[in-house]
Amino acid sequence: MSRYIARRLLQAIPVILGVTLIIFLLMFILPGDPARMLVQKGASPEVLESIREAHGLDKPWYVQYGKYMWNLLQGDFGTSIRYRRPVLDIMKDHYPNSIRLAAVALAIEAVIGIIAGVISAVKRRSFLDILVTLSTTILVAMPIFWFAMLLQVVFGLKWGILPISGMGDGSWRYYVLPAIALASVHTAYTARITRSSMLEVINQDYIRTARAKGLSEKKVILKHALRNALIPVITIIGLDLGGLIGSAILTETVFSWPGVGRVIYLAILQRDPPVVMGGTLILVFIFILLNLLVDISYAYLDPRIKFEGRKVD
Amino acid sequence: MAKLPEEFNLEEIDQEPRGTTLKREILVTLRKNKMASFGLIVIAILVLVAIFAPVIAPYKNAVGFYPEEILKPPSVEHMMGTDDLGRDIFARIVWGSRVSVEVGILAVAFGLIIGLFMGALAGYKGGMADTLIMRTADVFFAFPYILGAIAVMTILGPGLENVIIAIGVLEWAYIARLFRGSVLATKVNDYVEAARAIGADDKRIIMKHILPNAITPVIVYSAMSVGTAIITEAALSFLGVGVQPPRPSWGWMLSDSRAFMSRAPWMMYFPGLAILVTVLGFVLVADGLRDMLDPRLKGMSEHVTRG
Repeated sequence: MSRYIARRLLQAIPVILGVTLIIFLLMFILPGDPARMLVQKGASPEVLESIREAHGLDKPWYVQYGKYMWNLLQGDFGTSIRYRRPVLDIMKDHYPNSIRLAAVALAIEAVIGIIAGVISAVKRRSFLDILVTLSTTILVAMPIFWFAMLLQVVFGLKWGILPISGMGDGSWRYYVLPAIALASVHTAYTARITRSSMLEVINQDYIRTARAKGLSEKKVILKHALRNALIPVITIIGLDLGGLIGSAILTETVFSWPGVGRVIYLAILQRDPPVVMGGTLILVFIFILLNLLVDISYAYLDPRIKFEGRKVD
Repeated sequence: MAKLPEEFNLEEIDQEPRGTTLKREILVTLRKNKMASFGLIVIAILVLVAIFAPVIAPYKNAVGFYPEEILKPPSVEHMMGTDDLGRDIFARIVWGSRVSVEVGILAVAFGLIIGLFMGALAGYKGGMADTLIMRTADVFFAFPYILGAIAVMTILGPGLENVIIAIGVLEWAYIARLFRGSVLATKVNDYVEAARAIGADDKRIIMKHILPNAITPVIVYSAMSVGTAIITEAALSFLGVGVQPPRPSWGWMLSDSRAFMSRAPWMMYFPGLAILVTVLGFVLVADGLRDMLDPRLKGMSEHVTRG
C-alpha cells in the first residue's frame, strides 16, 4: 500500500514540473510589463528598472524559473507584484471560501445526484424517470453562468428571499444560490452515471439471487445493488471536488464570491505571475491528491483492482 | 518490407464497404431516435440561421446605438426586445449564431487535427513518443479548463480566431487520450497484421485500417465537444476575454445584461436560451451517436461546461 502511494506521488512530480513550466512560460510571453503595471503612467525608466531588479524581472526566464522552484521547495510561493503580499497569505484568505463553497456544492451533487439516479433506475420508464432524464439532459447543456443569473433573478430579485452577491457575514444563506449554480451540471452528471450504473447492476445474477432468497425489494436495492453501483459514482464525485474549486470562476464572478478562481482570473488579467502560479499550483496539488485518494478508495471498494490501476480511465 | 507485385492493387483491397454502411447506419438510427433527431433539427436550424443571417435580420439592427429604442420589452416590432443601446436582441442573436457556429466547428476541427495526430502517434508507436505525449496531456488535464482558456486568451489577445485557437489548444489533449486508447485496442487486430504482411506502410495502416475502426469514440466526443466549445466561447466573452464588440456574441450579450437584470430581464433570457438550445442539440446528437455506435461509452462524456 505505502509503495503504491509512493509510486503515485513520484508520478505526480513530472506533472507538477510541467504545470509550473507551462505557467511560467505563459506568463513570460504574456504581453505587457508587470513592472509597468505597478507604477503610475510616465514613471522614469530608472524607477521601472529598479522595480524589475527588486522582483528579479530583469533576469532571463530560466533563472527566474530556477529561483522560483528553489523557493517553492522551501515552501515560499513568492510575493504578489500587485498586492505586495506573500502569495501564500492571499491564498489563505481565498482558498477556504472556495473549498467551503465547493464542499457544499459537492454535498448537493452527491445527495441529489445519487437519489435522482437511483429513483430513475429503479422506477425505469416511469414519469419520474422521464423527469430525471429530461432535466439532467437540459442541465448538462446549461451555461452555468446563465443558470446562476436566472437563480439571482428568481430568488433574489423576484422573491427577495436569498442574497445574490458576496459572502456577507458568512451565514448559510449566502451559500445557497452559488452552491446550487456550481453543483448544477455536476449533479446532472452524477444522476446520469448513477442511473446507468444502477441499471447495469440490477441485471446481475447476484441481484436475482438476492431476490430469490426472498429479501425485501428495499433491502435488495439498498444493500446489494446500490453498494456496487456506487463505485464508479464515487470516482466521479471524488474527482469533482478539484474541478469544483478550479472551475468556479464563472459562478464566483456572477455572485461576486471572494474565491480563488476569481483571484487567479484577476491575476492573469493584471499580470501578476506569482499569484497565478501559486494559485494554480495549489489547485494542481489538490487535484493530484484527490486523484490519489480516489484511486486508493477505489482499490478498497473493488479488491479486484489491487492497485494495478483504475478500471475506468 | 517486400514490394508487392504490380497487379496487386492495394486500393481495391482497401475498398471496405464499412465506411458507407456506417454512414447510412448513423443516419437511419438518428432518424429513429427522437431525441437525437430533435438535436439534428436544432443544429440544422442553427447553421441555416448563421448562413442566412443577412436575410433574416439586417446587421444594422444588431449593432450601433438607437437612443429612442433603449430597453424596450419584447413587442411586435422587436420580438425579443431591445438592449441598453437600443439594439434589436433578435438581430443580435441571429448574428451571434455565426460566432457560435464558427467557434464550435473550427475549434473542434483544430483540436481534432492535433489530437488525432498525437493520439495515433502515441498509440501506434508507443515507447518514448507515447510517454512524452501522454505526460504532456496529463499536464493539460491538471489545469482547470476555463483558467487555461483565459490564460491563452490573455497571451493571444481577444478575438474570434484566438478563441478558436485557445479552445483547440486545450481540446487536443482530451481527443489524443481518447484516440490513443482506441488505437491501442484496434492495432492488435488480425487485419492490421494482415495489412502489414502485404506490405502496407505505417501511414497506410493508420489511415486505412486503424483510423476507420478506432474513430468511433472520437466521433461521439467531437459532437459533445462542439457544445463544449460553444459554451466556452460564451464564457470567455462573458468574462470579457473572448470575442470583442461590436461583433455580437451570446456571451457578451449575457455580460451586458447583468447591469439590467431587474429592469430588462429579457436581455438575459434570450441569449441564454439560445446557448442552451444550441448546446442541447449537440448533446442530444452525441447521446444518440453513442447509444448507436458504442453503448459501452455511456458515462464517458466529459462535462460540457468545464467552467
